[in-house]
Amino acid sequence: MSLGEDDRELAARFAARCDEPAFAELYRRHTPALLGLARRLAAGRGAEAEELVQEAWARAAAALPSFRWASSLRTWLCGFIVNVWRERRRSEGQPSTDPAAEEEDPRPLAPVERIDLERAVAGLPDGYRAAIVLHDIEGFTHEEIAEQLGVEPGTSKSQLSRARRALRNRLAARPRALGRTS
Amino acid sequence: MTRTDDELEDAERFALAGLRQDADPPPELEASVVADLRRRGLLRPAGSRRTRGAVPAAAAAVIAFALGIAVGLASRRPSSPALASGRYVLLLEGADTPSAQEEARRVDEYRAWARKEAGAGRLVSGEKLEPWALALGAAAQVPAGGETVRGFFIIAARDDAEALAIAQGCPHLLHGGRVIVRKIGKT
Repeated sequence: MSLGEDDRELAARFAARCDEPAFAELYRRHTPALLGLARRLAAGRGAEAEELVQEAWARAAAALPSFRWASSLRTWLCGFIVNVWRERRRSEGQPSTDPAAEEEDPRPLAPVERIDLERAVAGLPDGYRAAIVLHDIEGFTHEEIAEQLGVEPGTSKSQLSRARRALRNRLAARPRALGRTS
Repeated sequence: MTRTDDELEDAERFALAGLRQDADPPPELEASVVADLRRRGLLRPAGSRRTRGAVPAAAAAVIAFALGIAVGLASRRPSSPALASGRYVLLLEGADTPSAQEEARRVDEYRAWARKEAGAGRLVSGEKLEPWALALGAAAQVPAGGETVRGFFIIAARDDAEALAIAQGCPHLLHGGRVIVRKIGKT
């Protein structure tokens, strides 16, 4: 029974014996968060999100024996989601940012309905969406994001600034303004 | 700390953080992941064994069919989300009632087709369904012979035309059966 075992114990059991129950426990513990992240990165495309999760688990399972626990397992696993997603988007030739999206002056983000905010985030260019999702939604630090994306923390910060500007502009350009939702 | 135009107000911060939400993974995703890891030699199945002879032969055939698809094929989900933009379910209705020997042959036939489609990244999963059915609800009714849907496949296709082309190759059509193609809606 794996109840009570922490991630490190489960990972050790999995790494030592390719233990399926240990993996199943890790899977069930972390997949809801991974799938949530994958869906936000994939702008709500469910089938793509599930494929990201499957590929991420395949890579993570192979790399787990060499994981050094410098971060939490969840953070480390999220890195696989981000990288699989980036590889796929790159192979599809998707632009990661859109300079036109940040031309206007930034304005504070007015109170908005959750659905409008979700749509605005989903509609951002990939690079901006990743910055908002990873930092402002998932709560990763710039250092963690930098490690996941293979960039400097400063690059993560500047990308986030541009992404927030683009998000504000996108929300300001909505066809109808929404009042406070109380 | 000095606030800049690019920093978030508290309301903005809460609104964005509020978007963080775990997702409920569909059961078939775990089956796919586990099957994929087994195929890559990264997982060793749990050592539980059933008592020999405890499963009747007919049921064993059904299980073999189901596992052949659910386990053997689920590990080959489409590798390119750009190519597979939609998922469809093929509902297999009707078909004649084969002898036990013929049924075993058909299991191989369906499995071969399913493997081919899975290898091409077009098949997600599939199951055979028993005729027994229980209907619930206001107008509940089950046909005298049981439910007519005999099984299903879930496929990934670029569009309706490709889904139809895949369905046309399904061996169920060779045995007097009907295949209904339905697109799975986005949720």
